[in-house]
Amino acid sequence: MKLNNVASRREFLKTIPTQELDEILQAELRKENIDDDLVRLILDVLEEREADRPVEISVEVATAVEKYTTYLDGLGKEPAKPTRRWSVVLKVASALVVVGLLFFVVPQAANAENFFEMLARWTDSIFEFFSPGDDNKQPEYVFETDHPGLQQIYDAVVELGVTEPVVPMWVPEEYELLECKTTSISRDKSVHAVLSNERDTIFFRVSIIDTKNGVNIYKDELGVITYEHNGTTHYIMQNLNRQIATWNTEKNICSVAVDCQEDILFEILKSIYTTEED
Amino acid sequence: MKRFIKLIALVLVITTLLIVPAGAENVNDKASAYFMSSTIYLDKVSSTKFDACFSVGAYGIMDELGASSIKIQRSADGNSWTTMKTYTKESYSQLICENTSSHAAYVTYTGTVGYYYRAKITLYAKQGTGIGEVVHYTATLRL
Repeated sequence: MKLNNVASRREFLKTIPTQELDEILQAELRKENIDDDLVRLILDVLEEREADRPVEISVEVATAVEKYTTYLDGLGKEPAKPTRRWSVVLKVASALVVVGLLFFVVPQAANAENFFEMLARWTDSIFEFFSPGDDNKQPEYVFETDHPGLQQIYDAVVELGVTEPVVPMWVPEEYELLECKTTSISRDKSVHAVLSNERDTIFFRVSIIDTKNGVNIYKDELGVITYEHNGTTHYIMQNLNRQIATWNTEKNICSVAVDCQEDILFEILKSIYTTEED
Repeated sequence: MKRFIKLIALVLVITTLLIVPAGAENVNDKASAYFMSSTIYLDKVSSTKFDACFSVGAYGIMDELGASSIKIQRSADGNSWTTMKTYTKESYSQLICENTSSHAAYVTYTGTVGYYYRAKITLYAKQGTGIGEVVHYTATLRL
């Protein structure tokens, strides 16, 4: 049934989707005999639809910032301030100035050659600073003696591969080295030395330990006492008229025996551990 | 009373030790008078061989220092021991060194698998007319 009523035709076109209306319009316009009423009605419907579409929101930046600031004030916060490049440069420059003062100006004022030497001097006063990467560095063991016989003993011990402090750096001056002998068989390596002043004798022996073997130290029936020095326990005993001290390190068993006074033995033992700072 | 008797006995022992015929060697003087330190052990070389080793340091430069004998002993159960071979300083010159304060040496023995072995080593030192000896047993080794 043909819709002759214009209003009815308009209402009917309103039910058709916009895209279809557009296609109907295009098809009608391609005809030889165009239905002007139909074209007019389709255009009216499309125009109505355009007028009813919501308006797009245009953002105004200044207004938005103002609203946001007002919102933050209500929360008690301040908006973040933009970072300026020049403030970063200022902070870096300040750090460099401080470092320069520490490394150059202050050491010169303290009559020190460098910053790390100044740290070492503070160690002797109140508390200890450490150089970076040098935590708790202990003075290295350095063997130093004026006695040529002890030097010869030390050289023999080092040749066996012993690096621990085991050789005395001091004996009374008048003692001369009579013999320093190295024996090495199977798993046993030893250095044995005899020093004498024609009246008394000092004996020294170091044996490299093999965990399967023991070492016998000969003593008499008198008891054994201990002497602690430099973190090492020394066992003091007697063998007839001789004072003997024996102790073990991680890899060695050492012995020193003297014919003379006991205090000489303790001085000899202490001289084993003399460091650069003593 | 007991203490008094012990003291008398000690005095007699000491007196006996001090009586020395002129020109005779003092055999078996107190060993600690001569020896400062020693090490003895067996060192396994192969499935059937081992070295019987010793190292000794003396109090002073000795005329002779080393071992007067090394006896290799064998046991089937580790309890009852039999001497299989004896090495003496007279037959094996490497056991003794002259004019020294320290010496070390060893002998090599070929044993039988399945048995326990140990060495009885008599350390020896001579200085002038005095002689010192001390006997040690090594730890046991099973082939």
